Amino acid sequence: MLHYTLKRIAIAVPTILILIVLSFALMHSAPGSPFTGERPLPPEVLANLEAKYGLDRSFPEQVARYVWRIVTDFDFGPSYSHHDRTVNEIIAQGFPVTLTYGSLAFLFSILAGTGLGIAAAVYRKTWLDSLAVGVSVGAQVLPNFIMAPILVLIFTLWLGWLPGGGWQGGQWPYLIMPVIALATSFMASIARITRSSMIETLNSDFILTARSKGLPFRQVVIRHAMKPALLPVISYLGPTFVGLITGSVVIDIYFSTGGIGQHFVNAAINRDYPLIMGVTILIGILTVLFNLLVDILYVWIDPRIRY
Amino acid sequence: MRSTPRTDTEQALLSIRDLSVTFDTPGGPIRAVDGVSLDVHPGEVLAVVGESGSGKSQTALAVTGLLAANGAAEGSIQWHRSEILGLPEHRLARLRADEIAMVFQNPMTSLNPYLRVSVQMMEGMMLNGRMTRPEARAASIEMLESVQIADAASRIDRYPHEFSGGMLQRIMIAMSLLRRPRLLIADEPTTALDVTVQMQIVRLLGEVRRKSGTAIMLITHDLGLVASISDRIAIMYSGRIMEIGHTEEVFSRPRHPYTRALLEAVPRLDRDEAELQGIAGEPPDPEVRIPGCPFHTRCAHRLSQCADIRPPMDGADGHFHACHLSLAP
Amino acid sequence: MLTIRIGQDSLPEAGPGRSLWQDARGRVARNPVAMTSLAALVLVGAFAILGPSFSGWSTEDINWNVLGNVESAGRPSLDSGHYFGTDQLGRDLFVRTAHGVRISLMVGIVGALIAIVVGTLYGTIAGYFGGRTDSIMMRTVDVLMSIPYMFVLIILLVMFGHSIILLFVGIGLVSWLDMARIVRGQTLSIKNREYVESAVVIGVPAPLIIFRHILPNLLGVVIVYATLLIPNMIIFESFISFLGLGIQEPNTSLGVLISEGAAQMRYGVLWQLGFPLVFFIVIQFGFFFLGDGIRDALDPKDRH
Repeated sequence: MLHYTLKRIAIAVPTILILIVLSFALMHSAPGSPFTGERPLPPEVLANLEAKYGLDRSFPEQVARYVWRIVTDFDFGPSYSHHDRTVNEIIAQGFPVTLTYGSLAFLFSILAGTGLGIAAAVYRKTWLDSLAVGVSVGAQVLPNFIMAPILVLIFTLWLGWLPGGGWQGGQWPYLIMPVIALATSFMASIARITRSSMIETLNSDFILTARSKGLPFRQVVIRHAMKPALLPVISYLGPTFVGLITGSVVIDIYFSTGGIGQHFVNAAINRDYPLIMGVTILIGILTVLFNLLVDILYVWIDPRIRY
Repeated sequence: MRSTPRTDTEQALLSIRDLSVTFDTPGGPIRAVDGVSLDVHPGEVLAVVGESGSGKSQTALAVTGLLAANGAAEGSIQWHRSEILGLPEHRLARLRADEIAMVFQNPMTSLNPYLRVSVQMMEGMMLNGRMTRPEARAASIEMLESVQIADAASRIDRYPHEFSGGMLQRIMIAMSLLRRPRLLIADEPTTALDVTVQMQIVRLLGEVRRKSGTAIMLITHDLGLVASISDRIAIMYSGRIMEIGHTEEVFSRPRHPYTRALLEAVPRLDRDEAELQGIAGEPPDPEVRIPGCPFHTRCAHRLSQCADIRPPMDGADGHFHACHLSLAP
Repeated sequence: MLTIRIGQDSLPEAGPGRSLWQDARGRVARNPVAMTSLAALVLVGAFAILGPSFSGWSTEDINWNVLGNVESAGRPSLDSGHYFGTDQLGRDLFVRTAHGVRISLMVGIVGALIAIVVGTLYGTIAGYFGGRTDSIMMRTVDVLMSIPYMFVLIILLVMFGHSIILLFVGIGLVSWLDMARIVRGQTLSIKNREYVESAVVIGVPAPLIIFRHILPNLLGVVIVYATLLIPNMIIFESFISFLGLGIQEPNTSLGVLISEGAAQMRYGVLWQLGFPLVFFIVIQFGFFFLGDGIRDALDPKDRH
């Protein structure tokens, strides 16, 4: 277990380094230099940048300096669409927002999705199953950018119950719609995965054995079927994580929540390369770390996998 | 007639009468068990022999109320003279927990791969606070030792994939005996195992019966296997019982053409290979109901009424068969 | 053990054998949900192609009479000729929706084609050659799978300009990974069939075996997956266009229209969101249920 964990970490670290180098190279090869966009830079920023990154130096040296700065100080340098702010400051302000509604959406997708899927499988061919299948099929064609306007239409414009946007420090009325809009399609996928894997598990031989021992059905489901049925869901957590981060861009734009997604799109529109790179690298690192966590969790749950 | 193959029902542990099992499938209903009647007496080994698809396993599952959701059983199943067919699930669960245990065909898939063996053995005994955890653990270790699992005390905490197939089947048997059941239903317990291990398991089952007096319903397709340990034998074909009787009787004086054909298909050392015969033809399609004898299409002794009239159970002294033609003994 | 399966043998050899495909086509034709979906998709396609010729407006014409008074004068009406109403700039929504559906369907189909070609080739090669080649190729897929592609694509769009071609290719190129995995698994199982082994034994060169024996047998899986890919590509494109980073004026797509409709709905012009949304949902459901029907038809043992 420890050995496996260390081995996975040993793979994760170079992956992150390669990620940083690649994004730097990508930006470097962008039309113009990485630090000159379509807009002329304010001279003081340009001077600052050139001094800081030594643009006159060779490419490998530039990469090395950039990577070194991130590794030692986690410093992504100054933004140049926001003259007076560094990329770090912008991320520090936007990231907690994304993290708040993102983790709530993550929890909601998993809890509601697995709950719905298990209920549908256990009460197969009853109205509950039909309802769960209906909801998950319906929700699958409602990605976040469709859900968001529909929710606002209903709960803000028609019913007037919830504010149509803003953050206000993350008070709950401002959280509800972003979380639901973001989570719905993932909840649906998780429900479908859980349902089919639970049905398959309940048809397996060892469930028959458990039932032949006279265990109450509830105990059969909870103790014997839950773990194997949820393994595919664990494999799906990685894609869910990536999907939620991607979706947060729409949420930030549509609800003006001010998370990193909003900064990313603005940076993309303004060609603020340091900010784009900062956000991309941060997301890349988080994704790598999250996948590491999921892999370890998987091994921990399935006793048959040994490394 | 056919519903009373034995008269001493009052002594029977398990008494099945006219049991039918039907599965509702997309292609229409399928009758897997068709009017089966048999008794299991305390302490005996009854072998139920048949090809795959003959309905023997579904008969066993119907007894314990473990039929698939699309299956329905009709008829009568009595346990100690009280009806258990149609009991609510919690009553059936209690029956499975306390009196009728089962062992299945494939030990590699019949234990939960995600749970330690100890957990799976102990959970049944700890139901409703019947035993405390240490008691259950001690009983499990003791039972493992009695089925010759060496070093049981430390191995009990391993996962199923860390054992061999033969060991797993012994663990399964040990697990099924923990609650001291009156009846053990073993559904093809050796089929998935190596030939060398098969005999070990059969010997173990014989020992179980001798030591604890547990009755065993041994379901198998292997006639040779049951010869050594069964008291009585029931031959099933296409959902029906073709012949039932004491093992030596059935082996030495088979009355039904199907039984006879089966016995001729068993390889024996005292006969020439050339004499070994298969049975020509295929078992009937289970989706088609046959009014007469299901074996008539393959039977060498077919009579004119075989296709249309169902032969009644006939015989005496505990040896019955369902055939229009009474073969000379 | 719990379910009894009688009379349903395993899936017959998937292949170009006439009877199998005719069989499958027959089963799809008898599936009312799949046929309804197919009919709906055909109607949507016909609308996208023929719709504009039934209207006097073009996608860029601005109805100056409506401008500034869209909420009442721009309503959907048969009299004004704006069957779906107009957008906030007084442009005809019927024509724009038809145009948007056309672009979205094109992105979906082209993107899915690229993903299928790349994924099938990659997966077939990995599965056919196996061993070290396979493990390196599939490990690469695993690594690539954990990258948030939307960000990469957005960066590419920013760096190289918002061209439709780049969008098409980019969407296709980031979606071939699943396809590669599925195709590889199928190839592994086809590879071990007798007819492929005998072809290997008599010395048929690998490319010929792949094209003659493996690829035709992958067709079923590919078709089923394609029906799932197309709506996914449409979601992908709509997502980027919703952010204003995808399809640019004068072109439009469902994502652009939904984005504009969502921005305008506060002003009482719900039709601007409603019509594109209905088409989006019909397309999504259509492909979903059609794909489901085809999968069932090709894999009869999976019914129940």
